[in-house]
Amino acid sequence: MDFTKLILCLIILGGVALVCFADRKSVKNFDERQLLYRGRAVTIAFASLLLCLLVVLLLNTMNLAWFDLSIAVILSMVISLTIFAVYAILHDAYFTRLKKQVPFSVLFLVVALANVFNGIRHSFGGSAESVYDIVLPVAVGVLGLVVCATLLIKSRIDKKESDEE
Amino acid sequence: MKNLKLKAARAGKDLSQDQLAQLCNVSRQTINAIEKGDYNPTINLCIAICKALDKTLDDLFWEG
Repeated sequence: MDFTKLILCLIILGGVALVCFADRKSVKNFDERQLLYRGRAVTIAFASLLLCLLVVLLLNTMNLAWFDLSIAVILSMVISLTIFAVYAILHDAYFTRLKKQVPFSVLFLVVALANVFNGIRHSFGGSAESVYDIVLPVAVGVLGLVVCATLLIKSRIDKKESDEE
Repeated sequence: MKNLKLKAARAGKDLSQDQLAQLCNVSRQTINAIEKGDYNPTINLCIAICKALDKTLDDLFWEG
């Protein structure tokens, strides 16, 4: 067993638990507007997933695909997840109703950078057993970075709105 | 269309958007969206806002 990876996983899980515990008082149910926008986010993400899969399958059927089919499918899912996350965050309808967005941004940043670093390490170190070892960590890392950036942008927008009020 | 009547009523009660949101059990962003005219609330939320501000539906949401 790789104890370094195990310790890393425990640290990340501990971080998630700590952030959730620290912000437990601000967690409430979603209100009607947030539920509406979450529904829209799901619809848009689902439509984008179908569109990506359609393009992938079309290219594959026409023998124009220069990529591995399973990786393309997974990347389509990551893209649609990213679209869902960004839309939901920008409309304040993400995860739970949290007031402290910065700790979550830091958490996403750490996990994202760890994944990107892992993918690059596999790529340049030659330790990748398959292309999945490179593509998947980088894709998840990019998703995490986008979520982190969006959380920070939303945090600034909220602060600006509060100041203008 | 901006709901200036709601904004004025809230200011009249000396409440911030966050305080009004807590009274109505919604997020601050939802109150902000209603004031900016970006979101049409349901009748239940309209009633909750009216109760919190001691106003009638006509006072806050009827364009007359």
